[in-house]
Amino acid sequence: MSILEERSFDFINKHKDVSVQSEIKHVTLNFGPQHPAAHGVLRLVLEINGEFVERADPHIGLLHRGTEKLIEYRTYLQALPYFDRLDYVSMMAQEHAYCLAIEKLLDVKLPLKAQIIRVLFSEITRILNHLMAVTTHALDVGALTPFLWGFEEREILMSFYERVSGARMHAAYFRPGGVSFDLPHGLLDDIDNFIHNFSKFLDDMETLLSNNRIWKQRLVNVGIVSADQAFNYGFSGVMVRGSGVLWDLRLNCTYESYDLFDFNVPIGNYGDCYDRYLIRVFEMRESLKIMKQSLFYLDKFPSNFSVKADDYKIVPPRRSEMKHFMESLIHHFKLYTEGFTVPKGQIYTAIESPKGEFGVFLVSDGSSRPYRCKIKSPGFLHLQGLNTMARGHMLADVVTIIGTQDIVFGEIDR
Amino acid sequence: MPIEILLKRINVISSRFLSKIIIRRTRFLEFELNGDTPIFNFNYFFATLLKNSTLTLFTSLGDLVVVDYPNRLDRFDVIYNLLSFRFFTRLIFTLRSGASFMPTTVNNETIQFYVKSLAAIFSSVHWLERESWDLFGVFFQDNHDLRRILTDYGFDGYPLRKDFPLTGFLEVRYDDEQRSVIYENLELAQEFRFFDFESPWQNNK
Repeated sequence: MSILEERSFDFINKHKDVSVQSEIKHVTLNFGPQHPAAHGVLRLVLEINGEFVERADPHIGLLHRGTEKLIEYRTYLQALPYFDRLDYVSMMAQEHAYCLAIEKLLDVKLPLKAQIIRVLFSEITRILNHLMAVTTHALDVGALTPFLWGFEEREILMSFYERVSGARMHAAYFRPGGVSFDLPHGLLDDIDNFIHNFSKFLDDMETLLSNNRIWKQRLVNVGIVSADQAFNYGFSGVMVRGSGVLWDLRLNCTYESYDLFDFNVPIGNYGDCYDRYLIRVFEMRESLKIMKQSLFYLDKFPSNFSVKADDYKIVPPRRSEMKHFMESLIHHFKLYTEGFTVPKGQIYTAIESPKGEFGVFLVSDGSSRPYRCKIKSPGFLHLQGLNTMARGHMLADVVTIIGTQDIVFGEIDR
Repeated sequence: MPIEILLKRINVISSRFLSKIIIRRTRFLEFELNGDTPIFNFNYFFATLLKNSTLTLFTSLGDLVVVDYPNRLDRFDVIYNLLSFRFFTRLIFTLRSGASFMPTTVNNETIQFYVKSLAAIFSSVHWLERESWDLFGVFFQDNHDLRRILTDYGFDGYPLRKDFPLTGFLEVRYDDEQRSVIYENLELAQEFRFFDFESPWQNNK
């Protein structure tokens, strides 16, 4: 070898060692608690190798409000508004689970009108939630328009909430024993109007997203979950249905007069984010179907049909009765000071909330306060699966996966 | 029903170790079992059986609830909530955890209440056990990542226990002089009011 070759050879050999030392190491990135795409307060500590995620470690608890501890110190009726505030985008679904748990322990039967009103508002809640989920997911991925259009529709739905309960978001409308107030006049016509116009909105949104090349490139084959993984990680709801399993608590474990309604349940083929997006849009259309059927049923009831159970030991009497009759006054007084007592026992009730299986495990010791109320939120288990789902994907895909899991911190941190 | 067949075949488990079986036949079959057993790791064996046996196939663990009964010696009730997609069945299994197990030391800290972790069987149980550890102090052996999940970094105590007060011990405020958020001992302007009601009414039952 010539001197030049020798020297260059030495040079290469020397720098070979150096280049072995300076490998790309994993970078730990804090996808911090304040981030527009983190869906609330999520501190996600990512270990990244270049652009690819090696490990994702979510730190939660930044919105922990001590709901379960507070519920132990309140009566059953006083604890009800805590449930509204858990998953604050689908409010009445949580109330529904709680009321069902109490009613099972109390063994009380609701009048049919109350059940159908509950189904109607559950489906309104489902549309509210899916609008939020899909449009904010689109916003995180980069599509800005569906968010604005979707939230206009949400305003109409929240006006229904307000007309029926007085509050746009946290309506403590579902009560143990029925519903707090009857439907006002004209509400059913307005809901009918909404149903008529909403499918047009869905068609518009789908023309923007469903066949869009960019949307598909961002969502197809991202965050694939197999059915076995879904079972193992305790997923429920859309996450499980996206992987091809027909599991919907409204069908498989019917509660609250859902057996009177005729609706379809979509399932996916590939278990990726695109499938779950399509399932959510389809579910919105199915919710419209259920709402229309419930309006049909509600028209048939006579005007003074009660929306609460018959038992004044559980359900407060009407104000006019309370002002005229002594026992009604006593019932009213006892119910609003001490509250109703629930017999000893424990029960787990779950409903098909828009995010998955929302469950309430209620332990009662025979007094008027819950002894222990554990809230099983679907988002908790979904976020736990983020580590496996995001492995091997790029940083931008982490945002897509968080969006598709429909994460809302109110129910995760409680 | 599959689980009844299984329980019949495994007589030892059903008669000696499961003290109470409640079967609720609503539109969906729900079982509630109480594992009042002196055998350590019973929950681990039982859960493996439930997950893998073709008669039950409880492949999904939905929830891990801990209930605190401070008047009992074995203070905590660890409750597992299993779901079988194949057989449309839910199983709620209660394990009493407490003084029947000897206290151990982990990192020089005596752990009074510990249970075997199911992390090797169900992947969903990692965070659920972290939450139970954080809020109740129930230690799960063989869960490799048992750290706090819901309370503040550096929080001391187990909030959801019945002897931990609702208002806690520390309060947080921003201090202008130190230019940071500081932790101070709690000062309540009003005494904590808790009304104890006793109903003279009888229930429906």
